[in-house]
Amino acid sequence: MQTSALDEYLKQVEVYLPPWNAKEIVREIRSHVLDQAEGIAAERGVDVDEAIIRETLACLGAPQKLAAGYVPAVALIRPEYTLPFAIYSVAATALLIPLLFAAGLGAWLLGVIVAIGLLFAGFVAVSRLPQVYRLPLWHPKLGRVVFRVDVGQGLRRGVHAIWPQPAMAGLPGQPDQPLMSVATGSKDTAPGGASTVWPPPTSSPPSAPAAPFTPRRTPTEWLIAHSGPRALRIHELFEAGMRAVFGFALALFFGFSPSPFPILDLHFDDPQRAFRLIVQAPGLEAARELGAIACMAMCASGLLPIFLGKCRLGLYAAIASKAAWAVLLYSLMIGGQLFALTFDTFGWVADEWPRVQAAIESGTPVVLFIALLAELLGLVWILVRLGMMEAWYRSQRDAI
Amino acid sequence: MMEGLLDRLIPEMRRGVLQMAILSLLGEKSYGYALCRLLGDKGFPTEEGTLYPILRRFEEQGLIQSSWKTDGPRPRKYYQTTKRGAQLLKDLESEWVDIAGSVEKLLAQNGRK
Repeated sequence: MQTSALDEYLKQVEVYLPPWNAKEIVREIRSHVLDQAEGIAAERGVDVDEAIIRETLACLGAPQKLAAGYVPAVALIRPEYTLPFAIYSVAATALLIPLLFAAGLGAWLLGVIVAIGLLFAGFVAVSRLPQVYRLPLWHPKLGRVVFRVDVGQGLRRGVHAIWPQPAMAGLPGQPDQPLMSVATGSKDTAPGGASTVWPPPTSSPPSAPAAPFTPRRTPTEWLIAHSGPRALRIHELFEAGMRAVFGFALALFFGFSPSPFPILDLHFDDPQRAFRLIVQAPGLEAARELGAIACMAMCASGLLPIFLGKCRLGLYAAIASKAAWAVLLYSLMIGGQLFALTFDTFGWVADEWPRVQAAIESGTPVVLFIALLAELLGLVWILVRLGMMEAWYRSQRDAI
Repeated sequence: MMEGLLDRLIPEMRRGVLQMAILSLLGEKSYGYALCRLLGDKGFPTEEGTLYPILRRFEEQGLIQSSWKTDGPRPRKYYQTTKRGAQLLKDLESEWVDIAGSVEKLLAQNGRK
């Protein structure tokens, strides 16, 4: 029997029922209502009509209340897990812990960034491998007998093929010469007429070379002579690539993350499982912009040397990066209140291991201070290097 | 005040017993409406909103089994206790005898005092 009142009632009940067995429950309720209506009608000696149906429905109560009886009460009271405990444990370990623990999230993020950094740095390093002739291994003079072979421009691939670095344009004392392994005495001349061998051939025959007069350098002069611009070596390229990728990824992380400080902005409060983890540090929002700036500066300090070699511009970028990181670390270090707030939220640490809590609270500013000191020392070192490079440029101008 | 308290306590007390009564009545196959009537007749007036969720839960726990019969005037879902349900009922009965005996003794003791 179809009645509009019953259909309407059951439709409303279905809305509040668990979806996986709503149809069957509704079917059973319909059967019950019609049975009950028939019973009432039989008692009165009349036929079932819409009014009796409505009366029956009124006895059942509000649709929402009726449906509420079918909804599992796990959201309010959960005396036991419906899943076997082992399965639950595995699921919790596999899904919840990595997602909810700040350390897990941080480790995941770090792992991704490290993976990207390693891949990019490896790619950059491998793409420049043909330029191994720039390594110092190939530069020492081999006495009077000089083996040399010019592998030519064919192997000069990579960035320098399209973007020659000023630092590599035959500057004296710089490792900028091609690989050599041909017997001495050969006259190697590039198609353009320029000499491609190193050291430059002298007018005297190799059998009786004239001992060149080399004035003895002071340590300062030696340092300045080796402080000029030059191409990066493999390990320096690797490091620059890492800085570029790390800086870029972290700058994105700081700049475009949806929450103010995502690593620390975790909420998970489940009293049913006696589990409580609320990690938040609203004050660290202030560090967000500063962190993005520091990371962009770090990225620039990695990118510039990759394309320009060791040069003044790269050093300026490195100075900016170090200074920004120093400011960031300083602001975090003096923000003792922020860290107290952060670590206070680890209620279980304070309850279970008060010494650990105390160590974290007192140790964090110390660690930050050490990091700040390291940044400042690094900044001083780069300033010294910049000074030496400036001296090198001056010496070149004086020589001209 | 006292009446309100009583109104709350009586359903609580009946709730546990009601489940035993349902299991007991479902020794024979029955459908929801008939069971509801039967419970009322036996002194356990029960609302539909209470009965059907209990039946569903029992079914999920394997204490009763159900089957739809469509040969009547309208489709009806029939329930009957399973072996597991029967065993549980037996355990509940023995527990009930103990509880009833203890309560009876306690009340009699209080009455003497």
